[in-house]
Amino acid sequence: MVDAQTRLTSAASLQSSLVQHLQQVITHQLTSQTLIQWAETLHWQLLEGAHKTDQTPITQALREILSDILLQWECLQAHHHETSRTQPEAPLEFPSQWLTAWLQQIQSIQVTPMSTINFNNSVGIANVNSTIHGDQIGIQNNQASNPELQAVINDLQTLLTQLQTQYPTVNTETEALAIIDAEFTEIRQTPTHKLATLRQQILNPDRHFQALKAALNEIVNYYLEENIWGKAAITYLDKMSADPKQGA
Amino acid sequence: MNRVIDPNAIPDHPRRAATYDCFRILPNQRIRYYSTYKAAKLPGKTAGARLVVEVDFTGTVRRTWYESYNHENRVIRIHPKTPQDLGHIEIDPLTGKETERW
Repeated sequence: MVDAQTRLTSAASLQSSLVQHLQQVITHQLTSQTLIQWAETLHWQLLEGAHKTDQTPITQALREILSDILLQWECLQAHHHETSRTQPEAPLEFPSQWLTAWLQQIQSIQVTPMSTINFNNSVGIANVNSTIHGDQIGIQNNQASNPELQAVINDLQTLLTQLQTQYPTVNTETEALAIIDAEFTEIRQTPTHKLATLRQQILNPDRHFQALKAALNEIVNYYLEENIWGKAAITYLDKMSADPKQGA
Repeated sequence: MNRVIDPNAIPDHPRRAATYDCFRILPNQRIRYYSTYKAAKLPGKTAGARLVVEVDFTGTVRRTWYESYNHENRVIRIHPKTPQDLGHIEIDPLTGKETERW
């Protein structure tokens, strides 16, 4: 049973991660397509997965915002499909003003505990929910208490989402482990790698190993339940801690 | 044989009924839950869209898709997501027949 404080921390972490992803799309470090693939996974976790019973206001707001992002992508794709018949094909990206609006909406979500919701009462009517507007809720910075840890969480999550998208046919931990090994090697050897915080952690595993492991555990617990990439990454870090040369 | 089910007998129905915008009980012992409708930000023939989740009598999610609507609130496009992403399927809103896949 997940207690209220854990749910709150988890929701705040999801909020922070979504902010990070949107900022990366705004600054062209991530494509809108990658954001959508990540958002679909997270939205499903909130709707029918690990967070399905979490009815905290922040989680409900995240469901609404993620739903908007995903559905606007559907509409945007259709619009693009219709107009690209007469115009040159261009990579599809969200307009920056939409991304900024979502970012502001997410950053305005207040993280507060909520009273218990009783699901035992049967609900048989429609329209029991209402849209959560950004201006209905106050501003509070409630991200992970350790900014470095939060940055690693965001980097790791970006990496695992990208790998999951890039290698959809990988279905064993061994295969995933080999790819993660290669990926971490590339990150180590690329001084200008965009996942800068993660790179710093990998380069100095003695000092940062616990933070790295904690970040990964948090991701696996909250985002990638039963996910082969999450498991393989944990195995990789275990291996790294057993063999210090691995991360040097 | 088709038989209408009692939604309250389906595991997780109360939670889903509270989470989704509305639901529809089907004659084949399944329920469709409709997420919040979102109006399209861009003008065009697509007025908005929502996610649809179909659940069987055991409470198991059987399939999901995005449903897009025109300004007369008729379905003009579906995008099956699970169990398999089948891409976008354009629907004639008057006949309900498929007109294009992309």
